[in-house]
Amino acid sequence: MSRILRINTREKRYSFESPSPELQALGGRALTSKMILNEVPATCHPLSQFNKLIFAPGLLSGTPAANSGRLSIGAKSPLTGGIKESNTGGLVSQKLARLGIKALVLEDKPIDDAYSIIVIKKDSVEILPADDYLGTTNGDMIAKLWERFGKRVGVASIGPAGEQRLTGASIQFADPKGHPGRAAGRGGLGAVMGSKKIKAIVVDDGGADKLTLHDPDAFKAANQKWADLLRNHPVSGQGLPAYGTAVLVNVINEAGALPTQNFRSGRFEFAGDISGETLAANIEQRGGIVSEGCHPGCVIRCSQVYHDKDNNYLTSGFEYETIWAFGAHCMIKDLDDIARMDRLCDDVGVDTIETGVTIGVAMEGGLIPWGDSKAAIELLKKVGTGDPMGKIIGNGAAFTGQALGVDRVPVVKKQALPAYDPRAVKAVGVTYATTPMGADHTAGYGVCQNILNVGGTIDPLKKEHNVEISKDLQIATAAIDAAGLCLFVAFPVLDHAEGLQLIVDMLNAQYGLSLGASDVVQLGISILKDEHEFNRLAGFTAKDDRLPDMFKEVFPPHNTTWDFTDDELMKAKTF
Amino acid sequence: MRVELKVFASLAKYAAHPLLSADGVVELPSPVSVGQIADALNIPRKEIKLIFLNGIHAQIDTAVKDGDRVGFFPPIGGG
Repeated sequence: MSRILRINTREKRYSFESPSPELQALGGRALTSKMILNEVPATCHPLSQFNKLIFAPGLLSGTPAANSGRLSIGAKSPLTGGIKESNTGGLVSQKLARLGIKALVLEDKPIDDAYSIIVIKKDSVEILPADDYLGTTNGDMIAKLWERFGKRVGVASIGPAGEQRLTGASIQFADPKGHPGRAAGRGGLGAVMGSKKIKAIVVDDGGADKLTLHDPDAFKAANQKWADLLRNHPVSGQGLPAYGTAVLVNVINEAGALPTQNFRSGRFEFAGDISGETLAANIEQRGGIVSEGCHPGCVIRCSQVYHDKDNNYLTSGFEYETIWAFGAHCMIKDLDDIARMDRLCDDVGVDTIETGVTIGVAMEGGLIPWGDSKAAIELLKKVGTGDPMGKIIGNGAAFTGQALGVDRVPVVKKQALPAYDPRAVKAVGVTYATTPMGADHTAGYGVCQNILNVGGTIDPLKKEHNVEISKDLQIATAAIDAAGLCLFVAFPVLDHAEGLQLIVDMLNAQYGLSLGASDVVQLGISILKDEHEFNRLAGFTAKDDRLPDMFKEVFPPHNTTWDFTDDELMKAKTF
Repeated sequence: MRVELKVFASLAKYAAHPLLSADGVVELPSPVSVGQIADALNIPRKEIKLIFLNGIHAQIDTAVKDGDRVGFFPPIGGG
């Protein structure tokens, strides 16, 4: 049976334990959120010894199931003050699972300033001095750790931003090629890792046996159909591998929903310059990789390697949200400069959505001119150096808005809004307002029904049905996160009823269970209930589920406003 | 009548049609439907998943008028 590995970061000791009956059937987000609710005082300071940082592979992680290599990281968020699950690809999830580790829990915090790295192998757990690595960027950190511990070990690390405990700090993960392009970006979890003085975690599953499956034949049969479903759906099988997630730039712009110049309008004049089509054409022309997976076993392969005009590596995992945040949001049209900022964020270790939105808030505050990519790069380079302005930027949009006297600050629960205007994609607006995570598109991706006509069609500009669909998607997403599946499996699953059954079939074949589809829905609901309860105990109320006043402004081109009442939004949280 | 037409992602290859100007304008006799614009440019209807008419979802038989902005997309997603 899988075990829970607890590491006391103050005493530098570890212990394994069997999960309690309540935790045995849980994985991924279900496990992190349950343990945070049970073990972390909701009112604690997120950077104190009372917070815990929990890494949990999804339930299917470590098996051959296609696209099942996702990892949940949970804690009380220093950015939002509420519960956080941040989700990432990379190599750590599958390796932890194969080592029989259901959850890795970092507890307490050192009383001195000495940093450590944690090295987890089949027969050992070591907590080693890391002071030599202090100040090292994530890109260099992964290279050094691969050189020391072997290529392709799993690495989770923090950069200088995490060391400084900035609330925009991420935890970066080595992708299969050793680039730091995978991130648990949202919610400042890098600051929690920094507070516990852990610079990096290395996971080596060398010598570990394959996971034992209760019914290998049934698993194999279900997984074959599952992989075919993902490969044959036009979104996951064609659109995402060809253009990456940045394929969305043009469609969200065409729908009049691409937030431009800090959410002033839904169309960016230069959307084509920063589109997925341009990104793919640049890669084709310059070299790089158009399509690769963020973890072994991915059949969607929406990640990529992006080079500059001289064919030098610039960045990897170059996503739509990042391109929007540094692009349309800041009125920047130079895709190469946006790639440079993506790389800077990965290296210093800050969330690209939070930081891109923050740069736009800095432009709103007059610190640098709109559209000035060179000034934005110079500002970003200050993050992690110790420069006071860099500290302000690295603490995110809400903090920077306050520092600069800005009244248009696009955040919910102090977390920056992603790349869809809530007035023109109202289902995702409901998600921004009501998810326990703070503004987060992945928590209930209503863009599917509002814009992409996947899983049905709902008018994005009106209220009708958008609360209900956000609620349903939040439930489904929580379950997908518990399974350790990539969220993009939702595109075929929403369109094909057999998709959910195949997930259930794989879980049953792996664990010897007899779950039905309704059990998956109940799992999603139970996760959300745990998260809402933690936030309630932390002091959150209905006022924290509102969008900022700036969204009462009329939003062109469709001239809509944000018009949901507290009572209407509450229905998205009522089960 | 003049219609601003944009074709995206895997449909971009159909932009190289003599009826469509370099700046994305197509001139057609009116009245015309979305589907008739696709036909005139030899864009297979079955390849079109999303149609935006002035930023609003439209159907293949939706009528188009002078000055409208039309966008065609294949099935796409991300996030």
